[in-house]
Parts: sequence; structure tokens; C-alpha cells
Amino acid sequence: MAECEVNYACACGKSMPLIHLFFCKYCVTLRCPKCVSHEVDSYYCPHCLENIPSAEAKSMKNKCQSCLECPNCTNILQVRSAQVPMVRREAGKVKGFGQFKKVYYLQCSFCFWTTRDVNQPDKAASNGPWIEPQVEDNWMSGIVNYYRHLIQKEKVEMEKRKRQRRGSFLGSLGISDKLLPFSKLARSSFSMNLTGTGQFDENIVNNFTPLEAEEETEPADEKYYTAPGEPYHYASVASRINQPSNEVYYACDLKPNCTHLMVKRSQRCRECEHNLSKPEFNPSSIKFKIHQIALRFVPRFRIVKMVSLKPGEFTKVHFSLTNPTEYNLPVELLPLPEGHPSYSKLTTEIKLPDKELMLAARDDTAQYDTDASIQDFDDDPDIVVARRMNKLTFVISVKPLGTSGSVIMGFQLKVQVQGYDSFYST
Amino acid sequence: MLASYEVEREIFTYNKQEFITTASGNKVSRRSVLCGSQNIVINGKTIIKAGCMIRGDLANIKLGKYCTLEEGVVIRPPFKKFIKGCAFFPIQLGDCCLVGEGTVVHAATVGNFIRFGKNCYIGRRCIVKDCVVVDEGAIVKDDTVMPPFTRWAGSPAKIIEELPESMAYVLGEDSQEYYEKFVPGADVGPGWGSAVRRISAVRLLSGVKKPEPVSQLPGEKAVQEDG
Repeated sequence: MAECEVNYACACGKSMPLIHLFFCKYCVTLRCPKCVSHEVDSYYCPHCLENIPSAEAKSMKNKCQSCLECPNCTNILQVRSAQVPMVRREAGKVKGFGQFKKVYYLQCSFCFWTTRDVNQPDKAASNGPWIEPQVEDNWMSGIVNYYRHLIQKEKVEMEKRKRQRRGSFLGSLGISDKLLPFSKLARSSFSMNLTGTGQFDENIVNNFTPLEAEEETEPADEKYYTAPGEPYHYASVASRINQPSNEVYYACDLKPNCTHLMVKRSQRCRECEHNLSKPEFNPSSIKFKIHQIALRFVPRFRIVKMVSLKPGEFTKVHFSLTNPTEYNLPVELLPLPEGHPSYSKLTTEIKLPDKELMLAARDDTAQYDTDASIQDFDDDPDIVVARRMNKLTFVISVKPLGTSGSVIMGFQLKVQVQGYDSFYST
Repeated sequence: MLASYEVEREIFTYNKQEFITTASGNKVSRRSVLCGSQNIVINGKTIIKAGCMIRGDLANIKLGKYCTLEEGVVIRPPFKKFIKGCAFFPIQLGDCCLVGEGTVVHAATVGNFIRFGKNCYIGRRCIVKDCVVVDEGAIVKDDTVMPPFTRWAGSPAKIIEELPESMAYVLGEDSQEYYEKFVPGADVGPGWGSAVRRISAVRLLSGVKKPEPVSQLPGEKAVQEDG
């Protein structure tokens, strides 16, 4: 398909294709993704499509513990079984039983990486955790702990300052804060924070020493200068970035990654706080409980056929408007006002239809009804080319002002939305 | 960049002799190969172009409404190896799917409102949910699960973008438009011989006359005749 863009302007002035926009029926205006606030509805794993409660997702750092990815190619690892002979050690000798036991390991079906490549021992059971939960005992956890206590300390100090400002009258009466029920409530709600504890350790806050940059660093090992390079021994940059906490250098230290969770989100108009989009809970479903997309309210403007334009001359170009609503929709095409932000970007002069265009209602059953008679509208043959169900093809004469570059035309579309005032779309 | 479908599709006229049109509106090319046609169920208003191979002899295949299989597409049921041989699984394509030229679909289930680009490979036992777009040349690994509203590209294919919420509406309208603009041209004479069993490269047979282009769809009321 030919390269071209049809952009609709949002209420904030930003232009983008209609497929990205929402229509707020309370504000009677278009909303772009920047004009809506996003809220997370639910978390789900993109592989097993299982909903994960938000508390569990937070504790697992937004990762699915049951679906593991190959550190090489990020393909999902599969459990493979193998039969290993059972052995018994007696008096320093290894004796075989002649029996076999089943062991399980992980393998990538795309690049054939296995957990055996990184010397991870096979498991006796196919289910159960493959990666042990990481215990953070490095300096990173120390920094996180320090900031946690610092936040607590700052909150307590802020609260003291507020009490001193507010509580001067109460203090003069001799009533302590602890005896007042409301202040207790306020204190308890104030202490409900992300860290979960209301106390801080003064020692940790005071004794924390930041890192200092040093001029002299440790000298590199001699083998980096003398030994021949074996690039396949080292983990690739992409693999290392996927495992930042492991600090991997060699490929044999790579571990399977947990799959990142995806999010089902609902969107809300920032102005009126009404929901514009609310998906269903099921991750596999594409249905929505609330689905106010612009495509269902605003007529869709499209180019019927790309034609070659001559600079300085008017050329008739066919465009189409498709009515998404179930009632006849009158529309009017008006020139773009000079104060509009996009006015300066226009590179054409256009002749718009001067009359109101009537778009027929959308009828989903019309495709099955072969004898359906097309409703007669009083169409001007100079403007309207053809009519098919809810689509109207009409003519706009376009004259490019420059001799080269992109051809940009703009206009205002006045739409009478049923039940509301007229709505202007640019 | 994701196509926004802002330019309408052109009317595509096909040789009436080439396509068999069924009562439910399916248009199947005589140059396509449908093995095991008793196992193939096509729901209606589906276009199967030349060079397509549908392996219904291996397992049941079900195609939804308004599906389009471009030239050279292969729909092959996936299999799984067991200790005692292998078993083929049925394959199901949903409504409003458009499969690009040369793509091989080996998946287990394909949902509704799907777009597969040209020369893709959809791996064995893949589960493709609704509203998924796969870019040209992508190789989707076996056993991949493709969640709704995602766009995949690369080899191995990865999620590169999440699609907007209105994508189902856009893709559904586009598939219906494709079918409506796939119209038969005027008769151009006798047919061109027996079907070719397998076409490895898409090319028109020499000597096949192209029908004259049509400027207006049937059922479209023209207000201005000189367009």
C-alpha cells in the first residue's frame, strides 16, 4: 500500500492516525494516548497466559516463575527428560544397578542451549522451581536498605514539623497527641508506606558511605593479553543485559531468565476521569467492557486512490468517508482556521465541498441482503462520486503550492454526534 | 512502522476461469492444491490464491470467514513426536486472517484478525491468539504463544510493539474490504490447462490473459459516471 498518513488532531493539538485515538463522549472530543491516564488492570504471563495477582507480581519483580527463557535467544525453554543409569558407590567403586532413572533438564528448541551447558544439575522432578530465588547480599541490597531507612527518617521529620505547626494550641492545653484518637489514625495512615515499617535505624542512615571513584584500577589478568581470544566463551552483551543482577562474563555462567509479565491496562480521560477503555480480565480475550475508540464514533477519512499531482494546478482527488454509527450522519468539511497549530504546515490549496454531506447508517446485515435498495440521498454529482452502504466517495480538488516535497492538506470535519453537540475534528 | 490502512485497497480483478466460487462465497484458485479436501472446512467468503497448499490429508483444517491466503501459502498441520511414532494435530484459522505470500503456517491454532507478512514461518504447535501481526520474513519458533494485540518481527521473532485497542476493528474492516474488492473480471477465453502441483516461486503463466480492470464494485451506486 502507498505511503501516506491521515492524522486527526487531538484536543491537545497533537496529530496521529485515528486508530490510536479515543473519543470521550463526556468531553465530546478526541483523546490521544498522552491525554489519557493509564491504570494497570491485571498482570499476565505472555507465554502461559495466566493472570498473576498484583501482589505476587510485585514480589516476583514482574516476572513469571514458571516460564523460563533461553539466555541466548529468549525462546521459551522446554522440559526434556533423559534416562540416566542409577549407580551405587561401594568401597570406593562405582557399581551400576542396571536400572535407569528419569532426570529432567531444560532445553531451547531454537538454539539448542540446555541447562547442561552451564553445568546446572538435572532435576528428579519436572515441576518445581528451576531457579532458586535470589538472595540479595551484595552492595545493591545495602543501598536499597539505606534509602528505605532514609525515606522513613525524612517522613518522621516531616510529620514532626507538621505537628509543631498545627499542634501549638493543643500543646498549650497540655493534651498529648497520643490521647487524641484522630491523630492516631492520621499517624497510622501516614506510616503505611511502601517500605511497610514505621521505624528507621539511625546507624544505617548515618554510617552509610557513598562510593568514591579511584584513579587506579585493578590490572587486567595476563591471559587477556596472551591467550588467544575465544569469543564463544564469553556471554554476549544482549545476554548480559538480560541478567544484570548476575554480573555474567562467561557463557557458562548464564542462567535461564524468567519471562517478563505483560499488563492489561485501562485508560481514563484526564479531564473528566471517565473510563475510555477497559479490557476484559481474561488475557486471551480481545473484548472490552468499555471500548470508546474514535473509530466507532468519528467518520473515517481515507484516500481512495493515489494520483499524481501537478504543482500549481488543481487536481480532483477521490476521498472516502465511512460512517461507523448506526444512524445517518451529516458531516461538513470546513477550511482549517488560521489559528490552528497545523495551519503553518499546509502545503496545498484545496477546494472543499460547500454542501453538507450525508453519510448513510452502518448496517451489518446489508452484506447478507443482496436485494437491499440503496437509500436515495440528494447528491450533487460534482461532489459525490459513489455511495456504497455506509461509505461515501467524494471529490476534493487539491493544488500543491510547492514544486517538490510532501503534499499536506488539512481541513475541519464537523460531525453531528447523536445526543451531543456538533463535534469538530481536524 | 505499523500500517494505518489509510489508503483504500485497489479493486483486484481476477480471471473468472481461474477461481472456483462456492455458494458460501469462497473463491478457491484452480492452481491451488487442497490435499484431503474432505477434512478441510472453509467457513465462507475466503480467498485461496494460486500456489497455496493446504494439507488436509494430515489432519483436519478449518478456515474462518473473510480469510485470505496469498500465493504460495502452505497450511500444514503440526505434529508431535511420541515414543511410538508421531501424531498430527488439527489446525484452525479464525476469521479475518490475511496470510502473506510464501508464508508457511505450521501453527496449532490461529485466532481472529491476524496478519502474517510475506515469507514468514509460523512454527509448529504455535498458539496465535487474536489480533496479532507478524512482520515480513519473521521466523516464529516452535511452541510460541503469541498473546493478543502484539506485533512480532525478526528471526527468532520477538514482540516489538503492542498494538492499539482498535486494531481488531481495523483488521476486520480491512479483511472485508479485501474480499469485496476481489472481483471477477470479464471472461477472457478458455482456461490454461491442468493445475500445477507445487509452485515454488510465484509467477504468472505466460500466455494467461489478464482481465480488464474494473473501476466500480458491484452494488456501488455511481453518482458520477465518468469517475
